Amino acid sequence: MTSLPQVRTGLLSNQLDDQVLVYDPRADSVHLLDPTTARVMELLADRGRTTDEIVVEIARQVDVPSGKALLALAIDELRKADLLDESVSSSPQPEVSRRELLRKVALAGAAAVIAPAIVTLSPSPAYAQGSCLAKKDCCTVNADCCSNKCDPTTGSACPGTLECH
Amino acid sequence: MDENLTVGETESALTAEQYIEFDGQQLVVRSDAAEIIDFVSRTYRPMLVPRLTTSAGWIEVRRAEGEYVLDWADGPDFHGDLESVCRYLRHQVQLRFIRERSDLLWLHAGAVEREGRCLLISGPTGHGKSSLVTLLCERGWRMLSDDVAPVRMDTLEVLPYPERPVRRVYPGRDLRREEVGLLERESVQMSDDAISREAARISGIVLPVFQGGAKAELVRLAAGDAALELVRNCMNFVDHKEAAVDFVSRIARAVPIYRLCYGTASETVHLLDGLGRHLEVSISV
Repeated sequence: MTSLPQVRTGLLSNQLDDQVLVYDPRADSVHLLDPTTARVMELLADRGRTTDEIVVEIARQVDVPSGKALLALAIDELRKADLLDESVSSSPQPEVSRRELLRKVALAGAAAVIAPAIVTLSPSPAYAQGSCLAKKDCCTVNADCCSNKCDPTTGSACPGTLECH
Repeated sequence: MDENLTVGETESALTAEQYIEFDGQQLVVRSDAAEIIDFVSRTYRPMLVPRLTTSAGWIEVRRAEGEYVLDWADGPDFHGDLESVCRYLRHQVQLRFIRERSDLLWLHAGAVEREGRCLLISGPTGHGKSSLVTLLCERGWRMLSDDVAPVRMDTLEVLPYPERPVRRVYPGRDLRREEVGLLERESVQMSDDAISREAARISGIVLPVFQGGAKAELVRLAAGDAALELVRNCMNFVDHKEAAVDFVSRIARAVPIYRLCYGTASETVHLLDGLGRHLEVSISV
């Protein structure tokens, strides 16, 4: 890892203690970054930083001998959440699985609880359900539906294959 | 018949109108079916007003060939039996007011108030909001809302939306999560004293999670986790987007937010009652 990826512009971040809540207007999605990933994102946004500096900073923050695996894992999380600018060239990431990175994190002395992770939420593009669901809405049991009829869907719109009739 | 009803003659049947008011705007519900009017009278009793001054639109429910048809200006008709059309009507009333007052952030939440403290109980359907709200009201709290809580983002105040609570009837045994949705529901009549008609500023938020057999436990959430849960419970995120994210972030910094894991609502309510009494009355953001 010789050069670092850049954080996409246009993201709106809210610092909440050591976590960060990010709104991505382009995807209309909300991401909650754990403290490690949040710190990595902050350091990446500070473009004067080198990889080595960030590795040291992460190691210091998490109190592990080396922050290299944590940095790689955090960048992997940010990439999967589409929070990095892929149009800007950065050194290709080694093809290392998350499992392997987690093993390295563990070997580096960091507990699994500080492993970088992002929770992503895509809020409903329409008004969300209230007391019951209307026809064609996806459901799981009859009581979800205003009609009290949650039956197999005729199309494929519902991931659970059930919809209100 | 309720004194708020206006009855008029139509071509085929008597049609009655009722006016459901939220924050100065009225939604007209008209029907030729006495049972629908009766449902509206019971469900919206604290929200009914005698006359129309500022319209938020209309919804009509009529009898047709052994079923009921709900008709409204902006969507397809809904056909169903009495129970399903009443549930759908309640849902549509919420949506109409959400659309009319898109300046507010509508949370899927019940809200209760006591001595200036407002406790929000937020979560999706089936997590026990109505059960907890009604049980708190039996302990001296007053209901602001049962299922949806309209929040002013500038002042952190919940406006009253006191539709009649509908809670699930618990059979008195441990339940699996998937059984909850199948339980019978009961409508709970609230006395006038148990209903708050004034906006109240949020003092605390509880996010209930039902777990069959679980001992009641309150855990304060990290601000980020709490904010994400509030985004999940926004009913009109689409109206606010980044402003909604900014708002839930502010509220998560300012207000204590707890996860409540519980197995029996009646054995849990004392915990919420105690929590609520210790919340700060006036929180600034």
